Amino acid sequence: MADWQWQLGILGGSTTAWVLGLALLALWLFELRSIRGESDRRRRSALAALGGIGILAVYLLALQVTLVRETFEEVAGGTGILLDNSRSMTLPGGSGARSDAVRTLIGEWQEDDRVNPVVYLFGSSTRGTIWSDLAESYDPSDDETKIRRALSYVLEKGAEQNLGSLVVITDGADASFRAETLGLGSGVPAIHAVVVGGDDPLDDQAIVSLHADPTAYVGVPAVIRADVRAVGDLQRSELRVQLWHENHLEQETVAVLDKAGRGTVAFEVAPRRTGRALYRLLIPAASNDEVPQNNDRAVLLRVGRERLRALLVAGRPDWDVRFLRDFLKRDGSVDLVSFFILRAAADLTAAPTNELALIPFPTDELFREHLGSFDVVIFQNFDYAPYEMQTYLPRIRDYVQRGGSFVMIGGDRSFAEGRYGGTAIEEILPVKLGAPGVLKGSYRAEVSKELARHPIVALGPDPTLTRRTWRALPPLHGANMVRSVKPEAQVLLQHPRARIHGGARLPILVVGEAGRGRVAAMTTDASWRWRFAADDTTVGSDEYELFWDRMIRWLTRDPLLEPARISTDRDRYGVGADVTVSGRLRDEGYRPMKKVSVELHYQPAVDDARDTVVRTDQDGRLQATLRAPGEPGAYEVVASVEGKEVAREVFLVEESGDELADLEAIPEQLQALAEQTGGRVFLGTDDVPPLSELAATSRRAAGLVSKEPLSNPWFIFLTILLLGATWVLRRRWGRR
Amino acid sequence: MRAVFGVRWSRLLLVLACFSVSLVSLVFVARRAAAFGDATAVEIVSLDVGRSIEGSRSVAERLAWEVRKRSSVEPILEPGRARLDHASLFRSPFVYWRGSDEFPPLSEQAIEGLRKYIHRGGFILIDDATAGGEGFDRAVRRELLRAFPALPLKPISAEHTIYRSFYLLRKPVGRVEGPAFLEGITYGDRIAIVYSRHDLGGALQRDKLGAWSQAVVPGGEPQRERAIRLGVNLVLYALCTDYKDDQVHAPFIMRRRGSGR
Repeated sequence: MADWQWQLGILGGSTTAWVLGLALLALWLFELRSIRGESDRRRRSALAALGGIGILAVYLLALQVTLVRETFEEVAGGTGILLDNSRSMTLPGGSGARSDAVRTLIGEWQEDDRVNPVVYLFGSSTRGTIWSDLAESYDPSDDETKIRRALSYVLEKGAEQNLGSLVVITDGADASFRAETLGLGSGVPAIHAVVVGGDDPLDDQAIVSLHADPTAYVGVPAVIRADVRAVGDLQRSELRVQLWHENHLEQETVAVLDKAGRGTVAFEVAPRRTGRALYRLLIPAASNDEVPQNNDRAVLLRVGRERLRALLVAGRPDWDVRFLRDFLKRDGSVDLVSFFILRAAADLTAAPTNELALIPFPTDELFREHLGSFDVVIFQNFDYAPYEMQTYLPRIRDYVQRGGSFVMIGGDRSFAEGRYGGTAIEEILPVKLGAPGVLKGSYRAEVSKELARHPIVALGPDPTLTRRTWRALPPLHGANMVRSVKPEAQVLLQHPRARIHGGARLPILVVGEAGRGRVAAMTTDASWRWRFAADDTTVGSDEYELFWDRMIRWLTRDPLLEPARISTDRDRYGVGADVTVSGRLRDEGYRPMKKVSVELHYQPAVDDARDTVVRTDQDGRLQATLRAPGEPGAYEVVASVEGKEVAREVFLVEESGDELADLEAIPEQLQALAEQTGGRVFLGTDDVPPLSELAATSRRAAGLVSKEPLSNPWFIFLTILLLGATWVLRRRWGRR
Repeated sequence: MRAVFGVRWSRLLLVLACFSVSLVSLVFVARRAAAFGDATAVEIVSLDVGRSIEGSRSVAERLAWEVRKRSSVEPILEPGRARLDHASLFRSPFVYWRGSDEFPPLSEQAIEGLRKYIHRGGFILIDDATAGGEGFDRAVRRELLRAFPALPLKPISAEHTIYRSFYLLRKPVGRVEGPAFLEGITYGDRIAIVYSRHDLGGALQRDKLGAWSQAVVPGGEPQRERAIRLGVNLVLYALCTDYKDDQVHAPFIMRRRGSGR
């Protein structure tokens, strides 16, 4: 009776019960009063008792007392299988590959058709699959093992599917898994674990992970750290790690391992040139190393310069030169080499050479020996002719076309005034030079409407505010005339009134590309006036610095200022892994490329890979998943729109990848999980029982059971009998 | 950088020889004026503070002329004037302030203009024409202290770039020999205000017939030449700041300093 609970069925509940009880009590007291005159004490007692019992019986009938109890039933629970689909399942374990052992086990389980489990594969993702053909279709190829993520997913799903037990089949190669992080409460199914290969640990030496700053600098030491480990018999062997670069063994060291067989080695490298530098770390494979794939891993460094190297050559000192040099010198990211012509041939210094602080213009050193070391070359009001520089101009052109950058800033010695017409410099400039000529007078440069988003001139958060900011800056003075703007070049700033041949506005700032390099033509020498003016409301020291900072960064291809960018979700992948590519594409005017088809392909090309085509959304964003190339190496994924390349990103493919890097099983974590949920753990597949033995029952609510013990005919008859007896006796004994 | 700009004496001599070819005066006169107009040209503006001193503007003109004659800089030969409390102050980042008498405290507007001018990149050359008098000196120090209370005037080291921005100089001189140092206020990483108590302008002044206006003591004409060179160096410093501190120049300058001893 402990499980039973009573309830009142009378309308109105306990309130009505109280009212009715008091009324019947009053009735009984009234009856007692009515038999007060009965002289026979026995008769009086009998009438009082019978009347009271009868009234009580009526009261209990009226209350409709009900007893209620909840009942449960044991039912056969659903069974789930969570199967590791990562590449590490292809490794040896026991007598063959771990995946073979899994297929055999599943085949045996499938012979017993009493259990029809729900099956999930887990690896890079967790997804359902079909039980009936699992033994044949199982082909582990995922590039990750994330047990926690998979368990969380399945347990969440399991709550809807009434899972009574869950069998996890894995090699347990997920060093990051901790049972307690699942935060399991009551009511979870029993979790069993089959640790494939757990009965036969691998003999393996491995490079578990690599750590290096992805950006390195020429000549500046960069450190590559490798976490290594040894397991099985190889834990007692010497673990040598080699560093290879450009097919040369550069360094070698022996790792010091702790008791768990883990250690870290570090190599210091000094990249010799800019670009991408691929370094391989290699553990020479022992003959009994069961996973030689994880002995060879690579790291890719993007080598730049610690600071941008800028060469500023000025035809003579003036305020434009002074303000630009001051800005570049203050910029900690720029290594500035400046050279100003302080004295021309016609100047009369009135002093012998040893009383002058002048040095010869080292044209040969600058423009032959070290030109390639500069990221950007700036000619500021500089005319080449007096310095025998004709032979260097083609070198500067070639330097730009190979990927350098060049700016010409105006003045009476620049552009056509500097006799650059018809030279190699005109070939790379974004403008065509006509006859010499300058424009005088002040004006406020206007931003081209279509290019107001270009980072060099985007001084405001949107085109409207950008144009407003430009209108508020102090005016410029004077400009070099040019004949025309070259096709493909972009006019970012233009004169508000003056026009050039053909009726176009006189360009003040034009940018463009020359070969693989970038160029800019600034036809005024007055940008310093944005920095130095009296009017508090218009002087724009911040704008001046922002403008030139963006100019230098755009010219030198700062990734943050590129209109189109794509990236991969990881730096390195195993062969055949999923490569998720995402990015945002904008056109040359920095407007989102909306709803365009983007082709993605690898470079170097992969034989069996087809181009993937995705469409951008309203903001020009894209996302796609590609299959990593099957051959290890450094690759780039290239995005093209209408056959024109717009962005690229580099990544590595390794034989091992992270998936095969650290193969230490974690049976103790799975054991803890099993203990917590009432499951069992099996090391290896030999002793695993039939699936029906691991399938569970579960207890579920079967509904409510109720009884109304007083609502039976006997009790009603008894009540009527009592009331009838009372009435008969009252009549017989002279009462009404 | 030493490797980049390694010394090649044959090249050095060749280039310097080319530079030294003169025909100067004819070419100089015919040289182009600032092509884009005066608004962006180098201008040595004379500053009017209190009672303007006779010849301040002519000194600025003479200094501009000397700079143009001796270097590649092409200053305006007829520079204008400016006031601290007026927008004209910002017509050029170089202001020449010459004085001889004590002047009353500057207005708040003038002090604010002075601060703003220096903050935005301006350079001021203050020249005490009395070369040792007290009135102008006292007033200048008082007003500079008001404008820049945290940036006191300090002697400029003989190793400073100012002494090798064009000519190699050992010490400052003007119409008088004066103190062995210039004083200056350093703003950020540059000297923004230079104060000379050598009457630099006195050594530069000429009369209407082109003769020197004042005698230079005690060194005579060689001292006058050194004063002119100091003026040229100051203009070049304002235009190039620490350019001559760049490593590219170091080996040459050290060698010449050595040979001069």
